[in-house]
Amino acid sequence: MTNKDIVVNSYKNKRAMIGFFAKYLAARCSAGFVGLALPVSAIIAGVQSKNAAAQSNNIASGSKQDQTPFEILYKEITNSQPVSEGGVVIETPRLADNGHSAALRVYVDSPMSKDDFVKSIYLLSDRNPRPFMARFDLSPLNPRAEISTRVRLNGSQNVYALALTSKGKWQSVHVPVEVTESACLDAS
Amino acid sequence: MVARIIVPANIAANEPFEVRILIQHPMETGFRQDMMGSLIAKNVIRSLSVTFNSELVFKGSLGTGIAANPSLQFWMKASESGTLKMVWEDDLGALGEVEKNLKIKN
Repeated sequence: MTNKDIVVNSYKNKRAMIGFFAKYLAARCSAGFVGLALPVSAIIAGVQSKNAAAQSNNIASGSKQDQTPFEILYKEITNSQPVSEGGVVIETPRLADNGHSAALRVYVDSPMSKDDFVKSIYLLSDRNPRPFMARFDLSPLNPRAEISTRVRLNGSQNVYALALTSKGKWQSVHVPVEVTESACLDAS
Repeated sequence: MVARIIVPANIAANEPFEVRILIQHPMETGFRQDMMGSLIAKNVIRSLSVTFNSELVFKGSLGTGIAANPSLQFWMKASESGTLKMVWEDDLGALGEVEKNLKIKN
């Protein structure tokens, strides 16, 4: 187990814990605080249960109705074809201070020969209002399947890179990025 | 709009080198508000293509997830000297174009 794996795992654990907490809150709020029958506490409980419900929806997202824009886009791009993990690397700071502009380098392990090259690379984000970040088309004229750019991130989230090879194979990778200052401060 | 293409000073024939593109563009997301509180229309560079001696070497479709004043880097190789030309278009239909001569040392 590498250092990166541990970081990713701890991130997953964190999400699982948030989910558990949300469910716990929802259960508590739906049962009602019998002892605290004050109107104010009722309002607070209402707000909390709303938040908790929203959170648990985000995390579960199993059924078709509550798919996030990201999940819809992901399926649209890959055409619901199998996507293999690995073969793609994203280099980005684990902690991006400024969500307005985070340096990001993505590269795909490919010989870039005439028979086997990377056709396109997609950059997607988990929690941006618009999950599509960019699409780059490459050809055998590019000796390396490597792109560097700067991206906008609306809060801490996963950044996904999807690569389509000339053989029609999909490869992907995603990395968690912590953002201290979110890019979308106005209406989003 | 100002744009530039940056390439290494010395390029050998058929050797990979990195090309850097910089474009001055606000890349408006459509979520930002102006002083009066009304939304500023979305305006990003929707498509961008780079050709070398009129052969396509790189194409990009950008969204709102790319930071303002986009910077892009990609790799290419060339066997002879020529002109690297970049063309882009944004959501409001504004077009831009920039050229750079490449001198290849044989």
